[in-house]
Amino acid sequence: MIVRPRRSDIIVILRNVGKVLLVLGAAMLLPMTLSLCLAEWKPALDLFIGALCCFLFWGVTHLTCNSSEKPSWIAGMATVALSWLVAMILAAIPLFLSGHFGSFLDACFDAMSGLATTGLTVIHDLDHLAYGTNLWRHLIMFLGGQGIVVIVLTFFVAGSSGATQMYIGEGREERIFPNVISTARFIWVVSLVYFLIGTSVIWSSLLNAGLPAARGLFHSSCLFMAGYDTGGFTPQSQSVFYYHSIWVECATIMVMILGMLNFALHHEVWSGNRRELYRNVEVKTLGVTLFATTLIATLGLAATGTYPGAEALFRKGVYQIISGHSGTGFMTIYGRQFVLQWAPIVMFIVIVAMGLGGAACSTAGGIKALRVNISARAIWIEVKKLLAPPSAVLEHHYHHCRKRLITAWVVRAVLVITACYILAYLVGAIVVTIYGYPISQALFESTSACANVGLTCGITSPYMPALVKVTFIVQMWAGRLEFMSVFLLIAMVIGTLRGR
Amino acid sequence: MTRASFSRTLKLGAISAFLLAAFILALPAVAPASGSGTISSEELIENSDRYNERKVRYRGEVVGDILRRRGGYAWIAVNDDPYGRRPTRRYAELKGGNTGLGVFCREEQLEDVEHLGSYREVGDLVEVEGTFYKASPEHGGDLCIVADHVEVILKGHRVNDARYGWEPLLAVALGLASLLVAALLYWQARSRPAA
Repeated sequence: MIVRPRRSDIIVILRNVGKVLLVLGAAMLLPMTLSLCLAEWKPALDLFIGALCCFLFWGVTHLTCNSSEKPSWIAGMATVALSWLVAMILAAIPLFLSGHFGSFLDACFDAMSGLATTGLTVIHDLDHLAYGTNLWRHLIMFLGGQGIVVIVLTFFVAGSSGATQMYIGEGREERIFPNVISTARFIWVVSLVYFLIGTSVIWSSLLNAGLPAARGLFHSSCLFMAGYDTGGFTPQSQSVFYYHSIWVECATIMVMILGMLNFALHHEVWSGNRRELYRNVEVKTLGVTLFATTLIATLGLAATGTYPGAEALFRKGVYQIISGHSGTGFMTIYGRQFVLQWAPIVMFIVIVAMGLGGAACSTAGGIKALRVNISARAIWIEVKKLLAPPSAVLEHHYHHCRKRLITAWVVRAVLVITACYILAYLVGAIVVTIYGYPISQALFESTSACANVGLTCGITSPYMPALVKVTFIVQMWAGRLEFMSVFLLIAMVIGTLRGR
Repeated sequence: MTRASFSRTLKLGAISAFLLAAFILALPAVAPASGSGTISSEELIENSDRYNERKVRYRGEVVGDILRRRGGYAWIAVNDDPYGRRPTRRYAELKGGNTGLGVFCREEQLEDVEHLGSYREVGDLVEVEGTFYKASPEHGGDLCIVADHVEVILKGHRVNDARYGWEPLLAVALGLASLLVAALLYWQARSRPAA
């Protein structure tokens, strides 16, 4: 039975969506200011229109949706899913007005790709895009990576009723502090500190690569936002390959790895508990999966003679595996090279790395290391149960900031989300194959979209069919929010329509 | 026409036809890999095995930056999509993706390059002659062209800001609506009893 939402639930949802859009509108003023400083009048006007739409939405919801009631669990989760959809539409306005997109659907594709930190793009003529619009593309990636609801929780303490539901609904189950508002603020502090350090490191590597100082600063800010938030947009059309520099590649690897780690782990290390780095189950799991996928891919590329020498293997093979595994999507090769030059087994390993993803409560997408570990342990527990005497009581733990017990409930929750991801990867691939693409390429692109990675083997382009674009948008949205809040929103809509 | 002049014309025609045939047959030996003129980045990427370590001639717009490296070398990004000559915001035409190649060359080969494609500029159109590598051992496995010769064949130029359509009107309408909502919010806040 699907319960029909109460009127008060809908009012609370709309009011909170309005708050999210107020933040989004305020964020548009930053690239608008940059455009004004550089005399890019038309892009500044585009961003101003986008900001006005956001402010207007907030104003209308604030006027009409007055409620101090605490939202129900389902309403809190649905708020998040709806916020992301509405944010996509309004974030797409300045992109569409720039004239670099073939349709509003294309602009929505890039907006969702940015918000969900995917990095797939269908933009035209990127190399002639205005600075302001380009900064907006990267800024939405930064906002989406932190979580747009996290921003609302950070700034609107008084209006944070249902904060826990909204926080969890955005794909983050962990609370670093008992209070989710403190947790949200910590996430922002960590990100801003890393922003300063990461941007400086990337900037110095860009200066070494030959970029002028001012352009280098712009590029480094964009690359940090896209790298740390495991997004994958870049200011130029040739991705990281544009710079032809091993130092830029090393600097972005550092940022990508920082982004794929759990914020709780960052908190432990910042608090002086460096031992957590060696004991944490996610670090161990990521270490194993990253090492295994990198080793197989490197051996595969070396065996087929795809790249000459160790440096080339590192800069192409290892880099792409880290980029895929972390969910970033920076590229040091052309997308078609995956298909034309890489052996099928290596391409398959990239798909596996993308599907696994980074750590939970990070900016990375995919199944996540914690779930991979618990799923593997669950299989092992079942085998041990079969071997043990019937009266034996088996207890299994894992270490994630503290010792935790693996219960049947934990295993069920993990397996449900893992199954959702795998199913979504396959369904997306089937939709793509309908249009005649080979299954391996379809699975590559579908996994990349759903795990919010952004690597492409050439399917994603402005000319791909509209249904594939819509499928990828849904995959990016559902994958970023880890399905549950999207399912709850759909259930709520069905409940409303059925009138029960 | 006399018989002699007809025979002379016939001979001349035969010689011309022979020379033309010889030129066409000899062309693949001297011309770039594409057979006649330049080759596109798409053709090079799709057939990288075929063109690997072969001389090619490639033409496109220089975009972004000249990345100067030690020893007097530099990298440039050369795009051969249609936007090189007809930027999107000026002509409002969407005709291609984002295609281009990295070109490694000596810095002095870029002395004539003045305009780099960006929002404000249409970059210089250059023709590059050089060796194509699908994975250059000298450059960390990059798919690129190592240039022997770079020539600017068409100068770039500055372009104006993008054209305005109905956006100013929309901005005014939205601005007025926002003012109205702001006034209503103010009125609502004032009429609410103090806590």
